[in-house]
Amino acid sequence: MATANPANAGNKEELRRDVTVWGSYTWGYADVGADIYAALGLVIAAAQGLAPAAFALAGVIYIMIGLGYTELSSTYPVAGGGHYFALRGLGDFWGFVAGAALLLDYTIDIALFAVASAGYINFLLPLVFHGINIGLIVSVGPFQNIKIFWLIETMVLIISLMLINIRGVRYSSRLNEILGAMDLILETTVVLLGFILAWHPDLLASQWNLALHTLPLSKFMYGSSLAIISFVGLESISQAAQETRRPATIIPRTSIALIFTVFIFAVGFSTVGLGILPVKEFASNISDPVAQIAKNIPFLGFIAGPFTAVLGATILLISANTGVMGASRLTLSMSQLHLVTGWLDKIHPRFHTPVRTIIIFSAMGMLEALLAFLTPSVMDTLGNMYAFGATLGYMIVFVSLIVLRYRDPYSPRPYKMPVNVKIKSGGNIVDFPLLGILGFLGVSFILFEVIFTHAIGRIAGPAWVILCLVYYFFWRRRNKLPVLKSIKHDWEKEQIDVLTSAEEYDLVEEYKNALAQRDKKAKHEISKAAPTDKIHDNR
Amino acid sequence: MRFRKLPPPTKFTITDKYRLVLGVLALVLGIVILWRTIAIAVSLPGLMVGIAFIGFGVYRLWLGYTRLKQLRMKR
Repeated sequence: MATANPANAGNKEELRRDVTVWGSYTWGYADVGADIYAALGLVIAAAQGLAPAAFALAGVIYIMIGLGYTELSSTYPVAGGGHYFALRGLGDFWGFVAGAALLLDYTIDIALFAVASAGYINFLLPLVFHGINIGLIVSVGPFQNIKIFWLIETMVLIISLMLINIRGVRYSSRLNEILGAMDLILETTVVLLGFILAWHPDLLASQWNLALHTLPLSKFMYGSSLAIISFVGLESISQAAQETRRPATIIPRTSIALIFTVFIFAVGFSTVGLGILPVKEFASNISDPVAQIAKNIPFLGFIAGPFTAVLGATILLISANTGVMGASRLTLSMSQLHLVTGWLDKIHPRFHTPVRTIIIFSAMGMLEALLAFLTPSVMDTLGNMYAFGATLGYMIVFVSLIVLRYRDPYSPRPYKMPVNVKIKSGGNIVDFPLLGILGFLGVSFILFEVIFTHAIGRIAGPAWVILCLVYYFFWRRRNKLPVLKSIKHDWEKEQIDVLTSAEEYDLVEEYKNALAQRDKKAKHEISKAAPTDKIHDNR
Repeated sequence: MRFRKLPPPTKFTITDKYRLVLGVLALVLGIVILWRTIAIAVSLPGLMVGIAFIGFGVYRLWLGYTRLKQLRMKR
């Protein structure tokens, strides 16, 4: 059986742990908090007056996913994220499936957020260049109404991100902190002023009541499955964990604050939005919904609208960049764990960046954006795909969380998902996570909604995973590695290495003590069984 | 759910101030939303968001107050 190097020990370059509490929080907020800029219009267009309920339904499930990620990221503070947890809990095959689902998300992330960023730029362009035709439309063969100007802008943005990443301009934690803080202040201001100055409870109530009585269930299901987009980016919690000093202390606090802030803003924005503008306004301005809300705030709208558009375009571009960076980090982790070829990790001799992954996954993002522009609604199509990858990945992570409680009860868990039942298993008392089961069922429900209501997602999503699996079977077979079984890993050594590099020395001690206790117990049981065996032998 | 204890605060930081300001804002906003919802047109999202903001504000203020208390005790 082949043996894999521990992920961390094999790292060519160890990520420096210098992210602070505030840095860790804003890192996540710059990523997850940006999602509302893209998702709000899509969800309101689908769920109409029931959009706050759609956000709340998806948000409750997202909170459970977030708590699961918090437990796993503080227990295993490595940047691999969902695929790493799946690999530890369920083995190589499921680790690869989770990796493939998340890789789909990262490439869609590049496409969707670049498209959304261009949408906010389009809010600004007519203000700067009078007479510019941003709505330029062309038809090519069977493809009608292609928004060519928007398409070109998107391609330019993705190519720029690709070049910046190849050159290796370091995307510093400080930039994240500044943008995250600015976004937080702006969103707070828009929600606050929107509710105080522009919000009409009667408009909200009438739109809510109308949708309650007329909206088909399938439309609401479609809206709630799209609402999960506004919460995607939880992988950034595990990425931040890898670069945070003493992650076990910091990650649970910052990620729980992040989860609840994002949830409140998502429900808050949909509620304030439906009390300011009618649904049809959102449906016709699907690409810049937050700027539309800001524009309609009395007295300040003339400045708040463009300012929101600038920040929205910037933060969405940063989110698209997270896709480029995330894909290269994920493939690096996957190749170190022998799930994909190491060819992808070739470092550019001059720029010292993983140039192949950057080019390949940026090109995929461009291709996805191009194909989405050929469909009637570009944002909708990309949202479909995003929801499929995210829900599949999260489902596997939930199963991994439950299995790891049994398979690895010795790793110290600085944070545990609440609501547990104590169960005896293999001589150990294990906390069985009831909320984990509930979360798994919730995510399964959203995945069912995606398959049931997303015409493109239910075909393209599984097709991507199957394509990746064909590659996996072929590559593992060629390299004489087990296809359905796992390579042997020295997880105990790796866990000690990871916790030591994170400066969690008390957890290292706790872990070593738990392992020593386990070994002592096993030795005791063997010695207890030995005399009996001897008697049996003598007989 | 169990958290590892943070070391007691050594000074009243910007984060603490931000926490308190956000708490006050959320509390005021929650009251405004609830009041306007009940006075003008009652709807479930209006009520829920109002209550949620009040809860969030109270939690943030409690967090800030706890940190201040810890700081005073240390001093």
